[in-house]
Amino acid sequence: MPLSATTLGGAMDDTKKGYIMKQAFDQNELHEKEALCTQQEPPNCQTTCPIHVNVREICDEVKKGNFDEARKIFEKATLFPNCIVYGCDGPCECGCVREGMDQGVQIRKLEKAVMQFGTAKERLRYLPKKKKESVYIVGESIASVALAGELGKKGYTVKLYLPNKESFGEVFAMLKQEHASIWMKDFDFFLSIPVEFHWHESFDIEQIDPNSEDIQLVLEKEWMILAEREKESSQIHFFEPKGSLIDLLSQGRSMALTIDWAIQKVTTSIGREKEGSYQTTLFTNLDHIEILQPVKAEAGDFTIAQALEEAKRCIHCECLECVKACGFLQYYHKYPKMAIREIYNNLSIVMGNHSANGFINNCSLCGQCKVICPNGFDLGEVCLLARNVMTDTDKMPVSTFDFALKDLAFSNGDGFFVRHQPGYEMSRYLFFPGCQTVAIAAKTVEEVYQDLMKRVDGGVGLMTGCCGIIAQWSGDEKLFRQQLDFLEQQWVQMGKPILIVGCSNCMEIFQKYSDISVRGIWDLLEEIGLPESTGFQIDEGTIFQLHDACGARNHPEIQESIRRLVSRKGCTILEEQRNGNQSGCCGYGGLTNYANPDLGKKMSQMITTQSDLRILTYCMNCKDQFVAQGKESYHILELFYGMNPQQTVDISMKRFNRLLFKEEMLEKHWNEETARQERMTKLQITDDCRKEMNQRMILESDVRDVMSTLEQNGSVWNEQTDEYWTFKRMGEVTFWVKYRRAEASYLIEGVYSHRMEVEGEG
Amino acid sequence: MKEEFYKDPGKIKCVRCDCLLEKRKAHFSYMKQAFPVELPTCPKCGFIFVPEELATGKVFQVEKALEDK
Repeated sequence: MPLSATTLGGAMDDTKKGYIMKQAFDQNELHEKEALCTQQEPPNCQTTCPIHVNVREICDEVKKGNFDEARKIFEKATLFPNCIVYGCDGPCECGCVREGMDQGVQIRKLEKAVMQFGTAKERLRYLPKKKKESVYIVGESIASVALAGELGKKGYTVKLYLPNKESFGEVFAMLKQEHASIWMKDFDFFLSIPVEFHWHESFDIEQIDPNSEDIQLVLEKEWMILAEREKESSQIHFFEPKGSLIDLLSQGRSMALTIDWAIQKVTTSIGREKEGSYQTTLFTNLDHIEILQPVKAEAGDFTIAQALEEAKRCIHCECLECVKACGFLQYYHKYPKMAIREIYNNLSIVMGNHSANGFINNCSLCGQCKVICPNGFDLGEVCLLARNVMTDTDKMPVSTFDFALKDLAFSNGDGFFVRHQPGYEMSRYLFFPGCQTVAIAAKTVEEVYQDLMKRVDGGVGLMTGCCGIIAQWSGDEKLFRQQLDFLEQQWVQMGKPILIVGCSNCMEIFQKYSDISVRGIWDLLEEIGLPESTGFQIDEGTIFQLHDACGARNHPEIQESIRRLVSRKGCTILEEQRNGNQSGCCGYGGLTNYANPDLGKKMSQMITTQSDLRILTYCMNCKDQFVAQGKESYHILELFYGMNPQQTVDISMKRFNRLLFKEEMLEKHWNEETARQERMTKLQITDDCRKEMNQRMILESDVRDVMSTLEQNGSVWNEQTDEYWTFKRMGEVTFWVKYRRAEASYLIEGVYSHRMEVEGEG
Repeated sequence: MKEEFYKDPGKIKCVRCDCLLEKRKAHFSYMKQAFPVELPTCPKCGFIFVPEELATGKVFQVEKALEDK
């Protein structure tokens, strides 16, 4: 049943048409968020150039020796490439980020090389659709010529009057006469557009019909006297260009835009802030940029080799700081500005393919991008918001987080228990190791709990279960609240003891969303001291690559506590570049590993390949992810309590371990009877099949359930291969098991599932 | 989905009825959408066999596509 519009707050609910939609944020918020990501902003060389020549792209082409393409890019930016080569004062070179380091890239010389070595392709003859409007320009500088050229390009009939014999005086002063044959080539272009030149002809303003909407008049500088000031109108425009050659060209272009918009009767004053020269907001990290002295051109101009060498000094300014650190963004080849737009569009689709679902559901929501981004863009926050909306509007693909949510239901259902310490009727503390800590390292958890019972006064209770983060990550806020409420009730019933958590994510959840008072196990161990462990001992002085957990991001107190404990254990930590608050995700966070195991693996490898050292973690998921990549890794509790299980735990074992932990602990410490013997009979499953089950997220208990209904549901047999198949529909999934008959048993060789229901006809 | 999108699994017998499965009309349904298919079916008891290639191939793709609608 779709939720109602009221509960969604502003959602669009059209149940008659069978859909419900809601946006996570409005367009203004989208634009605000987009503005934080500067990756699409042009580099400073381009923005400080008044006509915004794409220098970065030109350098990229020159680096490849592709002078033809570079020339094309240059010529695309201006009608006056030759004039610029000989007359520009090069504000771009001062804008180059190298200017503060060694020296700005010698862009003018590169542009000259591009014009010299790039083949002059026949310039496209502009054949704009002729417009009915005419523009009269009375001027004297190259700005008016640029204005005429730009308007001519747009199809307006332009009559350019240059009454003064000294016209172009400034231009000639800037451009050396000796190169006139080269830069005069720029003026050839005017032959192809509807621009009439009236050299040294005086202009009679009376020829302009003041009532005609099809005529515009532009008066430059001294020619402004032809009209009275107060007569400046939507038809008559005053133009006062000034500055260097490149400034004049830029102002001519801007004026052309003003005239064009005035003709179209659009406001001419809005959206003009990025014309002319300005400083970019694009962030470029200059750390680790090699100092390269500018290439010297003895003959004044660059040779091809020298141009290539100089172009290599261009560092291709861009931000991508978050992308460099995040496996998820690298996997999708996206940066936040691009991503948020796609997410917004994805949420706007009522009917059709939601192509960004995978992207939204693959983010690990770890918060690393927010820390790294110079402007604090948190893409995880956006993805989580999108997941919330998708869940609220029944648009969340059911299968993506199905396994994880069932696992949560198990953790806080069959796998859950809470008890006071044996012999106590109240608890000062309640140890909450975290669902995956028990699933992956039940023995370690037992060691820790026994130690706490021994060394901590006032009673230490034990509570298993999940803090609810799985539901939060999946986007199901309602379910998340339910889980928290459940745990909070248990905590109240236990007399509100201080919760000792084994996982920094649990810590953050309880601190942020509940009234539960909470401490980290690391904090307690700092107080009571490290245990006397008799088990596996790591060599004193071992150097570890410490991997900070995402739950400890922006919690220096946790990060420091861990470091103090490791140092107390006599071990040393190597601080990798991306650690502490900038630490990457192991691939489990945000349920990435469930939504896209391939990506989870890649993210994990980004951490494991940082160094050759053994990894130390304080989140059991991180440790498990790294061990799965064959990297020797330890959780701090394994280090302190002498455990060394360098093996991964598959999903079936993770489920089984939690059940077994509950049963063993209840029997051993609380003398309670459990039904565990019945579950101990193991199925015969081939190793390949176990791997497949792990990949396909099918549990041993699912296989057991399928086999238990073999007689009722029937089976089929391939007499050639002697393989059998049977199935069982459980909830929304049909599970199939491929097996062979073994003596008094079955050998399970394959498992698969589908969500589609199948029905025969008649 | 009318196309035949799985390999013929060979001679498959229903264990309960001891007879060969035959291709019969059936339909898959998911998220209120239904698709006609032909699947190996026991002519006596109606056991419908969904081969692995089909479940992990085309069926999986269609499930994903429907979920993203």
